[in-house]
Amino acid sequence: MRSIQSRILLGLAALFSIATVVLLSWTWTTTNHEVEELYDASLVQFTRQFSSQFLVTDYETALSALEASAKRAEAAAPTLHGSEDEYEDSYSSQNPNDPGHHYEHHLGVQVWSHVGERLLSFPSDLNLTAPQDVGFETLNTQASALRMYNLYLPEQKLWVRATQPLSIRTEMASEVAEHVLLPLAVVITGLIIAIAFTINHYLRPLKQISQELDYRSSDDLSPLSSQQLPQELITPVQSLNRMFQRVAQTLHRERRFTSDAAHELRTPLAALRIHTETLSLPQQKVQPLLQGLNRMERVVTQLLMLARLEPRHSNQLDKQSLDVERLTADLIAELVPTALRFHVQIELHTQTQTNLMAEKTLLEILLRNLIENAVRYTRPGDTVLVTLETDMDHYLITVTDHGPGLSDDLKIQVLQRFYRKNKAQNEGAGLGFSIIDQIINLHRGSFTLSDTPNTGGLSVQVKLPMT
Amino acid sequence: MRLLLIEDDPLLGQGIMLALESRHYRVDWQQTGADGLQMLQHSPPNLLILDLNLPDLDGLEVLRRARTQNIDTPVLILTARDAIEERIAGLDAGADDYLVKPFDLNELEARIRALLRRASGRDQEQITHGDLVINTAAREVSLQGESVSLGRREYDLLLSLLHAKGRVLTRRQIEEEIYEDDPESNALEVHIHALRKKFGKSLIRTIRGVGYMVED
Repeated sequence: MRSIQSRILLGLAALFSIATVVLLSWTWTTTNHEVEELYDASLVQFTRQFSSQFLVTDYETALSALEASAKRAEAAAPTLHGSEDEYEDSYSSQNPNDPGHHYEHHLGVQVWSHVGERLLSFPSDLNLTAPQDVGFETLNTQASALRMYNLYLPEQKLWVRATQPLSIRTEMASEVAEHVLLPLAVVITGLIIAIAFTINHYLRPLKQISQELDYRSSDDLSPLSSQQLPQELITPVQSLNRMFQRVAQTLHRERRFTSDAAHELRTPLAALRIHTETLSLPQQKVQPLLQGLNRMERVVTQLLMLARLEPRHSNQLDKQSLDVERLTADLIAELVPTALRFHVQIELHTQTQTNLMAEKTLLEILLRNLIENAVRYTRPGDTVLVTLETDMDHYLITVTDHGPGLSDDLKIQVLQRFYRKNKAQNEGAGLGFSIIDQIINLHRGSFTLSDTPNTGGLSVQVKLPMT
Repeated sequence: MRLLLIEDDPLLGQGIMLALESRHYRVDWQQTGADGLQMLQHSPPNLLILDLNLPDLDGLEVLRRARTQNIDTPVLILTARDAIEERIAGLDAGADDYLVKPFDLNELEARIRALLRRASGRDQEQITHGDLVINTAAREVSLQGESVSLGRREYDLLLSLLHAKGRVLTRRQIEEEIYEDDPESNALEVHIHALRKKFGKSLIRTIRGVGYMVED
């Protein structure tokens, strides 16, 4: 959720909401005020118009005419104090010849004599006290909320009063607000959706970059394409690319160094060995020298293998269908003469004819390390068994010896680089299992170390997926 | 036997020369590819030991030039790089065998002997292994001076194993070499059994699941 996109959207939505609330309350206040003014003005106007009829006639005529018109009007008028929502409907259904307007008919009118006698009331149930002062008056009781305007005609000695329910003003104001709110809500919602799409669209290059970085393998240091990127992204992408380049160069130098150093060491080692072997010294004096040489040679060889392995990645393997039996037989044939010098025999037991998808060079290094380790760490006179078999979808390679084996603690430690089983003995470099482990990981396989049943010794089983 | 060694590293070159001379080989040692190639042309040795990494002329180039001039001296390559591609490149250029540095003296000598034997096998008439003697010209085999009669396949098999003395021949190699016209045949075990009956059980060692070898 901490994405730029959602932050921008959340921020904009909050701003729009606040703006809407401000806009609405502003509109509400203004409208309310204007509606008040408008209705007050029309109330005054109505009162004046109504009282003008008394100015041209005498008192008695006016009074009778008033009564007659009041009766007519009452027959056509809706209930003044009925439910607020209903009076529009009730009016419009009353008289099709005079549809009128639903804001008009809520006026009431009263005429009082100067002594406080009610002469006329429309509607008749307006229950009000006699007017005291000229001007506006607001009645706010539980039964009714009315706005009134009182006018005194001194010549006729009459009070004329016009009334109007307050509710109609609130009604008017809310209706205006309602009519503003809906379009506003629609427009703002639409705006937010449109902004979401726009942000999404313009953030796409950023997403593409993060996806590209996400999916690439940890050792893929090829530069990101900076073409078609928005200006803001070009600079970070370019500096990222420069960093990739520096890391790649460093890695490359390091690999080259390991590889070159190992190669450079081989010639002097070979010279050292051949001079040592031709020394005319007693055997027990030459032996330690040769042991030291053996160890150095093995370390150099294995460092070379590791240097070749470490930059690799599973999806960069050059896999091919391999006749593992043939490969293993050729390899054992190569290793037997050396093994026989240690008085160790090697046997191959093949229980499958299936081919395996793997990289040939790597499988060879794997097998060589497994078998060499077994030959090296078993007892003289032992036979190392190499078994090839398959289960449902795995190829199983097992190398079994009957030597001293490994304790459970040692089995764990054996995986750590440079660990050697018995530091005093042998010339193994302990890099062997690290190499084995890496090759198996590259092929997405697994391996187990266990005790050889019955006789003791170490069994290494490698499980590789068939494809 | 006269060997030519082309190796630029003084320490290693001197070491190999001393070691081989102590084992009664005559060794000429050249430190550059050009000098080596010249000596190879003017006085061909019985065997060339060639380092691939030379300062002037690449070892592979020396080999290629020698082969184009029809110099068919057996060549053993010494290389510091064990990448498969390099080995293959060496063998493709006409090398007979390769050895990855560092190597031990016994290994070097075994390879030299095998190469010399293979080279001389082409014209040498007699191969001996203990008290077993093969006259290749007459295709006759004798044990302790007494002639032993062998079938054609038995003879071929024995000869291959003796040529590869000290190395394991895989079943597939033997089948491809001797039984190529009859790949389905199960005769290999039968012939091994027959050879053991005639020359003793210890002559041929079985590497179970892999192949056979005659120990050096």
